[in-house]
Amino acid sequence: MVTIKLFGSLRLKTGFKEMQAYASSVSEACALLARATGHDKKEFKNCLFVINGKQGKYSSALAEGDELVLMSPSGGG
Amino acid sequence: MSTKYGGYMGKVLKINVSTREVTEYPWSDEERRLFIGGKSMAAKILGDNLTSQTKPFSAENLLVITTGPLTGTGAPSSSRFNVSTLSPQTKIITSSNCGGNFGYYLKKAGLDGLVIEGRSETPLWLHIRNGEVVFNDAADMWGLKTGPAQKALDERLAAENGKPVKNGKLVIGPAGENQVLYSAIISNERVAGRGGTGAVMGWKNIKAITASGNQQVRVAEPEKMKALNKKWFKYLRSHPLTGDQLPRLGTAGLVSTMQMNGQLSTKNYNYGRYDDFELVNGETLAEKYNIVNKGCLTCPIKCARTVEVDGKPVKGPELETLGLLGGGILNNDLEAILKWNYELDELGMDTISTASTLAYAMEAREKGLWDNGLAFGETEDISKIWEDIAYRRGIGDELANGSRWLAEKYGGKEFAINAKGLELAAYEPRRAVGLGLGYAVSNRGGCHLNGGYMILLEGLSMNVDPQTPHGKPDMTVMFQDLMEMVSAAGQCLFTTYAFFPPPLISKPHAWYTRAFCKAVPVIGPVLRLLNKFPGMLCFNIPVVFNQSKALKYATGMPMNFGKFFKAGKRSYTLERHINTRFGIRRKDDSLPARLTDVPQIEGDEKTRVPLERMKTVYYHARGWTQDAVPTPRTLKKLGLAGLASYKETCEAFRRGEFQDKPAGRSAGAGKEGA
Repeated sequence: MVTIKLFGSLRLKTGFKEMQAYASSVSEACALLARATGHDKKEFKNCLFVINGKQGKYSSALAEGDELVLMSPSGGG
Repeated sequence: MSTKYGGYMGKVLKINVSTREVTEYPWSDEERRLFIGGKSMAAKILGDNLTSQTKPFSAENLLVITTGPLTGTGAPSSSRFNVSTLSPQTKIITSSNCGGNFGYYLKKAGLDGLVIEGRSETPLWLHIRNGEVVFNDAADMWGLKTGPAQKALDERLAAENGKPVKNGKLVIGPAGENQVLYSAIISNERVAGRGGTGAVMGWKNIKAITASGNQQVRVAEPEKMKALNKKWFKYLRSHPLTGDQLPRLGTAGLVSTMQMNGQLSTKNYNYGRYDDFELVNGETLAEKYNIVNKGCLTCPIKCARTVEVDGKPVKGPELETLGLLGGGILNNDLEAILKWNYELDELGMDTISTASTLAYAMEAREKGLWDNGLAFGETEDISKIWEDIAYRRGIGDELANGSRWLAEKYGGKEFAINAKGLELAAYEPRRAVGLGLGYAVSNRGGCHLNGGYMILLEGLSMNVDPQTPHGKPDMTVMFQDLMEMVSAAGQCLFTTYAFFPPPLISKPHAWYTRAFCKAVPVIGPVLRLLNKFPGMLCFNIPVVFNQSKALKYATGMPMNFGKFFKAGKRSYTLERHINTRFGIRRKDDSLPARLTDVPQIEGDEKTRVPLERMKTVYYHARGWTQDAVPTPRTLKKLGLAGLASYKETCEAFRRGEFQDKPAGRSAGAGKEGA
């Protein structure tokens, strides 16, 4: 079981915040999110990934207890 | 004085509030060509009038309010104005760029700018209508907070005219009246926050300035300008940052990204991550508190939030306020931040400096340096602290002087998080070292925007290695110069985020985005060449960079990307040239030792700002000496040989007063400088 969190404008667009799910990779998590939200998987694929506080890739593996954060790009302060 | 150029009203007024004399400030077309407008124009005016002996709180200090040539032309996000003065907070020149609508109405009043000198004996409200200045008594408004003061202005104008008058307003609150060193000027809901411009206005006894009129801005090539604006609006609306993230979340949306990157200042910059960030981030703000998104006049981005405080719709906090009044003081109560943000605007105080000064005070108490009763995480009485600062009561009287002043008195300079006396924004530079350089060398002190905003590439929107210093100094020079001129033209800096083509932002894993991010640290020499010879860029960049073309169409000046870039360089170096007069040298381009000497991640030396080595490259790229003084050659190359101070500089160099080496060890040199 991993925790998947979504931040940024995509969170407001999809209304999705967080879920616990079984996913062995980031790509699998993106597919789960696409199914859960009805949005295109590409939108999640184009997020930045952070796994347990460290940058991840679309191809990164996930292990039991991991926290995966997806963020859409941001700027402007 | 009229002008041959479009985009300008051709008139700048000089107002002496001591004598109540109003004259036209001489501003020639040659100066328009060289300095464009906004902060650059203001720097030239300040440079021509301030001496090294001028004090911030003196009749000789000027409050310069300027617009840019794009203001009033329908260009996107262009309703802005700039306030510049000799800052009481930093003791060097400051500039503060503000949204809202005052810039637009100043031009409707037939003016490009105001140059205010002297000091009124009694509280004053200046009303500018179609180029005429009316001096109104403001004794009955003195003491009012900024909201009621603006309401009173509308009522008085309506009463005098028998109907509501459309106008732009500037007001100060009690903080400005009491010369809190970081007090702001408020315009509607927008704030010229940085550098203490409100304190100078308050010292001059000016409570408010309003502008109204029915003048029109003449555009040199109206049809082309209109067509360009149409395309430009469309492009900004389609860009992932200006058309999606900023409209949806505002700047508050950055909190989560910064947290993930370790860039969110926490507990007075001790850490870069705040455990409770989800309680105070932009997503929570949007989901629980945001009522409506707002934007300035002519702005398609609409980055402002409206939230509810005590049942009343008010402006929501920006990222800096969320970060510094959230994790910065270990506060996870978002409702409290919304309330404080409103209170600080009402009192007329810069939220960044206020919050950072408070965090310094909390840490000073924790370390036993100052028994002030403040502690991280204890926030019940904070509203009272704001009032105490604004009215200079109790410890508020000392807090009102900012973190640099407090550290000089109580010690703890290493954790007084400011550069040249101006407190840093909420971005933690140890995990974005290019931004660290920007904070340090920024002409107005610790400012992320004036510093070039490298963090946009260092983790916010792109993944350029945030820990490498390579390529960052040259990139910083480039960004600073471009942003300098966007601001001078009268436009919001947020439009600059669209310089990066959408695919680079929206597809972070694409090969071309990764290639770009990898390339930045190794293209320093190429950027250096462009920085040295901006004239090589004698073309316009279609779609993503519309500013140069817009300036050409608005003003009729010959303009391309290279000329625009060079004008930015001219302005940035001019500001430094003036600051040199006030003693600014390499040692002042510093950061607190916490950021340069103490790694954010224990044992990882890369997680501190390698400032000195970046500064060396930066000064070289700028054509300044290694002691941070612009050389006569650079001044001449940038078209600044006509300055009255140019000859003095040449003579000083001949006398050997300015050496091409550091005059003293930088305060932030620490380990790496040793």
